[in-house]
Order: sequence, then C-alpha cells, then structure tokens
Amino acid sequence: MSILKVLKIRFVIFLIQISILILTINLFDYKYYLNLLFFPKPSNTTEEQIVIIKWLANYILYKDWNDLFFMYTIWLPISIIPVLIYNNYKRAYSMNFLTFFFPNFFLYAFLGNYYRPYFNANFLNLFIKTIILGITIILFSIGLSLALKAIRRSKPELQRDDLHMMAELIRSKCPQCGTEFESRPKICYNCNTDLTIKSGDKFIDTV
Amino acid sequence: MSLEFLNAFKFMKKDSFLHNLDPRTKLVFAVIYTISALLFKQIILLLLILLSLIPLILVGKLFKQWIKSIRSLAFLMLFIIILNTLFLSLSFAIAMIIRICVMVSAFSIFFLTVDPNDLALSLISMRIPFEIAFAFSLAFRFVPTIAIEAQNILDAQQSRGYEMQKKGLISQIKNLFPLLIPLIICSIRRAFNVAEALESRAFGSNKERTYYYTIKYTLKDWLFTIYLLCFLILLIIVRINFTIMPEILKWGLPV
Repeated sequence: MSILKVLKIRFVIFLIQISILILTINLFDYKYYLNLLFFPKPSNTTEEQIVIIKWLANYILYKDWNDLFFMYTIWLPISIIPVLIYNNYKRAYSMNFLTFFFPNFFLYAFLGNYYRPYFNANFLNLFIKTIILGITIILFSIGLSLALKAIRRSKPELQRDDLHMMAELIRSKCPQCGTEFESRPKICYNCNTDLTIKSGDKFIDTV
Repeated sequence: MSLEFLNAFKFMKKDSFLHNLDPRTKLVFAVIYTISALLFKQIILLLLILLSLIPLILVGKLFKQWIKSIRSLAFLMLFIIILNTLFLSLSFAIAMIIRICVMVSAFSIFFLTVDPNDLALSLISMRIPFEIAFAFSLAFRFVPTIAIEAQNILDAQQSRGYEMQKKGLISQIKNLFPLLIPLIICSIRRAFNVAEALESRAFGSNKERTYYYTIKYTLKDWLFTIYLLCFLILLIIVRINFTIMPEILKWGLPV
C-alpha cells in the first residue's frame, strides 16, 4: 500500500488533523475560559469530567475577535490537508466537516450530559459561534478545492492536444485504392491489399 | 457502491495453522470469543480479548481480509459512538465498538478459513440432520456467488447509465432497488435449478449416507480447543471475581 493510499484513508487524515490541532493549540497555550463557576455543579459530575469539557472547549470555542482570529489561523491551515490530498471538493469538505464535527459533538454532548445548567443557559450563544466557524471552514475548503481544480484543469487540456497530434500521426491511406484509415491496419478492408510490406511507395502517410 | 467488503467473509484456500484446523474447532473458537466479548463491558478487558485475536489472524495470513471486515463496520461504529455518547457515555460506546470488533473478527476468521463442504461434514458429525446441515452449507456456499452476481448487476446497471454512485442516505436506499429486484429473481431461479439438480441426484432417498471426504479431530485441534476452554474459564473467573481484580482492568473513560 503506497503512502498516498494510506493518507487517503479518512481515519488517517482525521488523526493527522486532530494531532496537528492539539499540537498547535498547546504550543500557543490557548485557553478558553468556561464560566462554570456561576452555575451549580450537578451532584454526579466529577472533576475529571469538568477537566475534559474545559479541554475540549479550548479547541473550538472563542470569546472575542482576537480569539476568533486565532481559531481561524489554526483551523484553516488544518483544513487545507484534505484539499491537497483529495482532488474532489466534496470529499475535501466532508472530511473537514467530520474533523470539525467530532470535537464539537463531544463538547456539546458532555456539556449536556454532565453540566446541564451551563448547557441550558449558553447553548444558543456557543452554537452560533460554532456554526460561524464551521461554515467558514467548509466554504474555505470548497473554495480552495475549486481553485486548485481550476489550476489543475490546464494540464488535461495539454494532454488532449497531445492525443490529437498522436491521432494525426497514426492516420494512414491505402496506396492501392486510397481508402483512409484512422490507424495503421495490416490489410486494407476495401481492396485486400497487404499494407504490412515496408516499401516506401506502398504505404502512404497522410501526415 | 461497492460490494468488495463481502470478500472479507469469503473462504480462501491457504496453507496455514488456522486453515488446517477442523471446522468444529473453528466453530468453538468463534463461539467462545463471542461469549467472552459478551462477558465484559470494560474497555481494557475487551481490548485484551481483541489483541489476543491478532496473533491468530497473523498466523492464519488473514490480516488484509480482517482489516476489510473491520473497515466495513465504520458506519456502524459512527452510529454507536454518536448514540451512546448522547444517551449513555463515550466509555460505553468505545467498549461496545471493541465488543462488536471481537465478534465480527471471530466470525470473519471462521468464514475465511472454513471450506463450505467441510462445514457440512462437521455439522453432520455433530449429529445435525443431513438436510439441515446441507441447507446451512449451501447458504454459506452461495454467499460469495450472490455477491459476485450483485456486483455484475451493479456493473450492468451502471453501463446502462444508472447512477449507482449517488451519495446521500436516501439516494443510496433508492439505488438498491435496481440491484435487489434482478438479484432476487436470479436467486429464485438459481434455487429452482439447485432443487432440480438435487432431485435428479435423488437427494434424500437414502437415510444412511457415505461421504467421499471425512474430517478428523487431530491432536492440534484438541490442543487448540483446550486452549480455548482455558481462555474461557480464565475469563469467567475474572468475571466472577471482578471486584478483587486490579484497578487497571476496571479502567474506563470518565465521560
């Protein structure tokens, strides 16, 4: 299995994207302050669960414009990876959607399960922010994929010209009856002349 | 849409330790691994059970097919993660995924290494009436044939310009109709042919049957069965005394 084939596996791309996300967020030491103290802690919620919720919030939530800019500078370069690996914009944006969906899904599911008061009070506010970030990532990946496709399109056109040239080169004509062929046949279907005899005057090339 | 994943359950003749085992041993193996997966809902224990399968998969030269069978579960895994995280917990979701992987792997190994003809013989040797054993082995035998036929129908419909590759759940369900109707008709037609062939060979006229090939429970089959039984007994002991087991075995995600 070649490296490109392995890279095209969705799970592998997902792991690469998430690993880069975790590395960069930790490198820049970005922290989103989740105001959980203002809400009563549910009796069955443990400290570990709160730590996980706060950890997940660092990867997707933002407070002000600076945070939003930071989030874009982290998420948008990450969303380029599937665009470069897949030639198809649908696959690229669906992959980015998947990578963006899972941290968000887990954050909201854990908030809903383990910190219901905060979830009830802030869900709409947080969700609008998530939607804005998500739509930007998807639009960015679609736009970039289409742009790359447009750049790559020039290459097949060149190949098509080459094919036309080759077709012209192999076109031939029977020296006996003058029937034209799109190939180099062994025998003329019209007059049964053997066209394989390599004498210059027997086989006429049209090109 | 591709039916390539069905190859992950198709018998392939190979010369390996697993392939040379008696089909009854492999049936015991699949059943014991399924039971052991159902005994626990702790991630570490289920993971250990799954890991214990990997040497067997490598010995049987089945790694690629096993990966295919696991990959075919991707949609189901996604479904389990989403539903369990929403309504129960992520830890439970991961445990369930590993449990399903163990069960699918065990039966995948069974189907990949058991010749359908040997399966019928093994069932008969287990005192199952010949008719039932034959019906079972015939059904088992026809799975790859039907898969190939389904792929042919798929290709034929695509060559007629039908868009089978359309994405989306509803489109995928709609796409199944031009595949299923010819497939069902072909299967019924084949069933009639098989029935006529069986009748022409006087199937069921003699109660006492003799067989050209016979299967034997050899020493390595006994050894492997003993290993499997020891493995199951060990797991039952762990299950019964679970409260006094090391904390690492009880580990789970806090969410």
